[in-house]
Amino acid sequence: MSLGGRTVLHNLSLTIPSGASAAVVGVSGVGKTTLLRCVAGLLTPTTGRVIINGQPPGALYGQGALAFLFQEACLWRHLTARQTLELTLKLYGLPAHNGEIEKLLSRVGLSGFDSYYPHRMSVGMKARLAIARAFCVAPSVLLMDEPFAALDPLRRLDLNRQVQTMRREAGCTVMWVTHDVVEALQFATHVIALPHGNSKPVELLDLGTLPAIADGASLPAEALAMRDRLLETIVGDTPVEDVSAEVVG
Amino acid sequence: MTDSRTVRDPATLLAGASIAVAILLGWEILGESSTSVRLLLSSPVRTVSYVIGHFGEAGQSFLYTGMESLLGLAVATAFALAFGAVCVYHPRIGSISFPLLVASQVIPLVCLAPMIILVFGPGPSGKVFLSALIGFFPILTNVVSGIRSVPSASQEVMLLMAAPKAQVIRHVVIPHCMDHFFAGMRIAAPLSVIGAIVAEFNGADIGVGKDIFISAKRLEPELMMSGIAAGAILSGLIYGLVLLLERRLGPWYWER
Repeated sequence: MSLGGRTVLHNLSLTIPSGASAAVVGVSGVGKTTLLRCVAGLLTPTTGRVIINGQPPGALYGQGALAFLFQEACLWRHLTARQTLELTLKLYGLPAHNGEIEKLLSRVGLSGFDSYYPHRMSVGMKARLAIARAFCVAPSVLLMDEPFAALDPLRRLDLNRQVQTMRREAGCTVMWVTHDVVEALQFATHVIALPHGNSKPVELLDLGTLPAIADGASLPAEALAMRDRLLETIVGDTPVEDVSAEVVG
Repeated sequence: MTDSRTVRDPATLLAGASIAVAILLGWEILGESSTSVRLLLSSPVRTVSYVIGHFGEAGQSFLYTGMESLLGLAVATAFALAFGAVCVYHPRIGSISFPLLVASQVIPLVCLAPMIILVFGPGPSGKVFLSALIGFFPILTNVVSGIRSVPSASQEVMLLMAAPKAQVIRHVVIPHCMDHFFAGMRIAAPLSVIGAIVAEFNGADIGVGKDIFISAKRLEPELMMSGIAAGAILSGLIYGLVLLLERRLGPWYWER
């Protein structure tokens, strides 16, 4: 894939298994967002193709099978939370039952906020409503381009957990961009490591054997080894550990 | 913590009202200070007496100019919205016509008034035309900048839903452009009154502009001051109408 004459992604061939949570990690400008936009069909690769469930991404538009959470929540500013979900269902040609909307809002922790317009919502509430909108029609693929980047670590943790729970329940595949390797190890089943400067082939790592990482706990040895391997791929160097420094004024 | 609503507290309102009363009082004293000043400047009391005494004619002029201004603003709005959409959605047309339009703004539109009256005659059409011409540009530039600033991600959300173009315009473009559109309208509202009055200076059977123009020739300060006051009230009323329209959009717009 080249953008503005510069090759961004090169020689990339991946197969993401159904139901996976694939985190895309890499340094800034390496092509994480470009990869996600190619998968969504919002960018056309210079050469090559993207296939989702045997179809090009464009064929899935309008069915609710493919959802995208952008960095901004991109809510409809003139609609309340309830109206947002009603319009989403209407655009997919589905009836908007009150019970179903209540359930969705409560699922993302927005019960009682159904009459709120986006301008009255916090960044976290907007992200929650965007999640509810994405899961309105049980997507088979959800793409997330750092939608929680503007949130504090606790809220981000909470929303990541929420999305992964909904992913498991809906059985959908989630592909998400993050800068945080530890976050990727905690919530992903697979990691796509984009090497800095296209120096190495892109790797898809299966984290299936990795032990679960509890919130706030230190990383087990296997996770530490995986973290170092990922950092070596994406940054091109091994991390420096156990540094002690003294500053003399 | 203070916000814009602080200016509406009773103390601020009282201070504003006191300044207004002081200005009117000073104006009244000055207007009645000597015979020569009385010939040039009408005091507030004399102006009000004049309007009461000539309520029919003054009211007719007020309504006539008001109608021309409102029609001018409506025409300007309709053309600015249509042309703005064409400029954005057909970039080739936009890239040719928009710079020309910007360049055309170097012509002071009031200089065109005599020519416009010659072409349209002394009836209301020339006044509506000039009023529309003067209000068109601020609305257009704001609408174009509003449409261009719609976030691409918001449109892509709709693309993934395969939403029809009409739905994208209704739920993404229009709500996003409202701030820009009304910013243009707030500038265009008083300009539309200026356009109508300037056109009336150049030939009219009736109107506030004609009254002001004649008053200078006849040395009638009461008529002049009532015309000036009528122009100011008209501008304020049309501006208020625009604000009222904004309020009608709902809490999502004015609460933000």
